[in-house]
Amino acid sequence: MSVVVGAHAAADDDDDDATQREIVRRAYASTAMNAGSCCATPALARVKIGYTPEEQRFVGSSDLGVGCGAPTSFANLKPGESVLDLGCGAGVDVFLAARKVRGTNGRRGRALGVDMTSAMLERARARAREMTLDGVDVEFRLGELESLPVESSSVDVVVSNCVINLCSDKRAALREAFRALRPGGRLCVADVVSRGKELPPALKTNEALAC
Amino acid sequence: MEDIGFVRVAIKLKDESREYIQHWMPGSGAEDYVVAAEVIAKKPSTLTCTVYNAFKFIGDLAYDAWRAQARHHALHTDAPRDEEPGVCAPGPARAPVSQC
Repeated sequence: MSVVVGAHAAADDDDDDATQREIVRRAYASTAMNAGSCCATPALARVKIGYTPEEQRFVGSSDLGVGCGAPTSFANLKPGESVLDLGCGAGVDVFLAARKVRGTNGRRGRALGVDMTSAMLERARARAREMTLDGVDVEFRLGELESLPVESSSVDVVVSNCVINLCSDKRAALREAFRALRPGGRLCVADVVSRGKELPPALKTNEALAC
Repeated sequence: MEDIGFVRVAIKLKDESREYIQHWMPGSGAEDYVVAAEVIAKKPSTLTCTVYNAFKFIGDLAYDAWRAQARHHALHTDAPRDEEPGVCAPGPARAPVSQC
């Protein structure tokens, strides 16, 4: 089953993979520095993505509007669970997950974000320092989805928001998510899928590729 | 995803996503070609995992019960002992452990 297609043509070989990865990295580093993004949803329209106004206030500047859903809203997160966010960006879904898995009675939750863009992680860490999140460990790691810097069978839930479509090797990304999950764990992803129509040339450009 | 090993894969398309996808690359018509979706899948449990989770669940319940009982006892530690015989009463002195 082809799950995540998006507006991104799959690369044919390793060179194309590296090129695509670099294009995506540059585009999102630029987004992290508030330089705008071709695929950001305007603030007023973001409530339709799935975040409540209260959640938007909570995450503040970590919401860059580049998601296409709200995976923490359907992941059924419970206190004490450990969550991994693939392509966490500035940390919006990590922070929302952290709030939901915050432990009680001494059992700590864990929210871990992985992203390949240093600028995004710097922004996420800066925002984390501004927040008070008791009962949960929040951590951000630099890494790629195709080779996650995460121990095997170590998380209860994997979430992702509109990132897997950016991977040139989506199967490798999903295989890594499977490896990171504990047996019985769940994957909850918001992403874009094809409507089944051939993409026009305008959506096969480098700009669209990184969107 | 099923090839990788995921089970109970469910994909829910969000037709309302057209309203925000139209803001991506305005004028490109991206909303006619892609749609947002929620994907949920599970990594299957193993027998060991099931047994572990069952014990963990029972352990967590017992721990919570113990804490509730401890809190209750803490509220009554100042009560006269004859009203609550045995509660929080010190046990018999232990014999010294021999040093081998």
